Amino acid sequence: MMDACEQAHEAFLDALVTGHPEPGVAVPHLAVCPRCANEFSGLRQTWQALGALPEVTTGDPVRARLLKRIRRAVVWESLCTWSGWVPAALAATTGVGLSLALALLVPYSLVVWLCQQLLQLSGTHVGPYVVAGAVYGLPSAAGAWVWRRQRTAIGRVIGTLEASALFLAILVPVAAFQCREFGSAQQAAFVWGLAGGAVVFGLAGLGLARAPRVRARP
Amino acid sequence: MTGFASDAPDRDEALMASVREGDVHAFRILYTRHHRAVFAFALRSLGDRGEAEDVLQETFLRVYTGRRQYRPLAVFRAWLFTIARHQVIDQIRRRRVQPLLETEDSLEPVAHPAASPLQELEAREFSDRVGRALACLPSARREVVLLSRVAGLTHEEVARVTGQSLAAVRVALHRALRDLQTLLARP
Repeated sequence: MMDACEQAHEAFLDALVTGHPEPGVAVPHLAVCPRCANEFSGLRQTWQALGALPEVTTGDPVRARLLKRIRRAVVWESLCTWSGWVPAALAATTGVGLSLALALLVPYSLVVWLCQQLLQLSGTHVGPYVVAGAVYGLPSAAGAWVWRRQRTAIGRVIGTLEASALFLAILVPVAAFQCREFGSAQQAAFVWGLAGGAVVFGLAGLGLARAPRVRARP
Repeated sequence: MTGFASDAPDRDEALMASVREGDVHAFRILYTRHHRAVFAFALRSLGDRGEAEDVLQETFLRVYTGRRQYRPLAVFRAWLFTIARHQVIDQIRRRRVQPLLETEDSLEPVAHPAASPLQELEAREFSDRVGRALACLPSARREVVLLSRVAGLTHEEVARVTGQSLAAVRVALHRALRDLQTLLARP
């Protein structure tokens, strides 16, 4: 069984560590035991001596090197791990769903016709097909919300490009099949427009879907 | 409103939850907040600035790459210093010698422009004395002192970091302070 002095040790160590302003109040035993009071006083001096050690610090180069290594780790994670590809697949699937829903509501041929009217170009000119394809690439921007809190800028860009690649891998065969009534040059122009739109709108979406930054005391 | 402190957005644990989602900005805040303590712990454990910087980098790199292993209920500081402690141990194992504590060159303190040359000299001498006294402690006790005093961890956090019981931490700290007191009292 612990005696009063031993029991007081625990309490006065706690008073020391927490920096209690009045250890005599925190540990009443100190008032009645000169031996413990003396020991406490000595330990407090040692504790204070340790606290008075000069501050040591590192410079900015260490921080810069660390952030460089973090960026490298982010690139590796984005390209070589499941955790990098799963959000890309999620973003791509969302984009494909939206693009197909858009195609269902507004057929490709209608958008091509609208683009021809807008650009005042003839029926065989590939320009309206490129623009129409880009319109159906627009939903890839919706996938950007997946990255809004994610990673560094480089990580978000890699993620968006991965998502765009998956978006196109799924959507291009479907789009090519759906616009089979177009001529081969117009079909190719439509697919190129779709690819360009997916990449450009995906990256543009990144700029719009920025998460609010954490504000905190340093 | 819950009123729990853990809901505060700038608490370490809340920031670490953001880091888990890949938020590098939250990671930078955590680094800014804790890098001095980790560096001081590493430097005073190893006595070599270069090695301590390696430990600092490796620790925070592991915080980021291992962010998914962090459990939201765990105290961040305890988790951080568990990683730092392992890095220090690895560093010591790599060089296969006892830590060379507190050489004057490696422990260059932050310069205070207001301090006179005499004050700086006294501070350096004092730092060297404390450093030498720390170096004389058995490593387990030194570790507890550094985690408590230099890193500013609570007894509970030190117990988690070192894998000891709370009672064992208190005993180690008590003995370490007594030893230091004796060592510092020597002329």
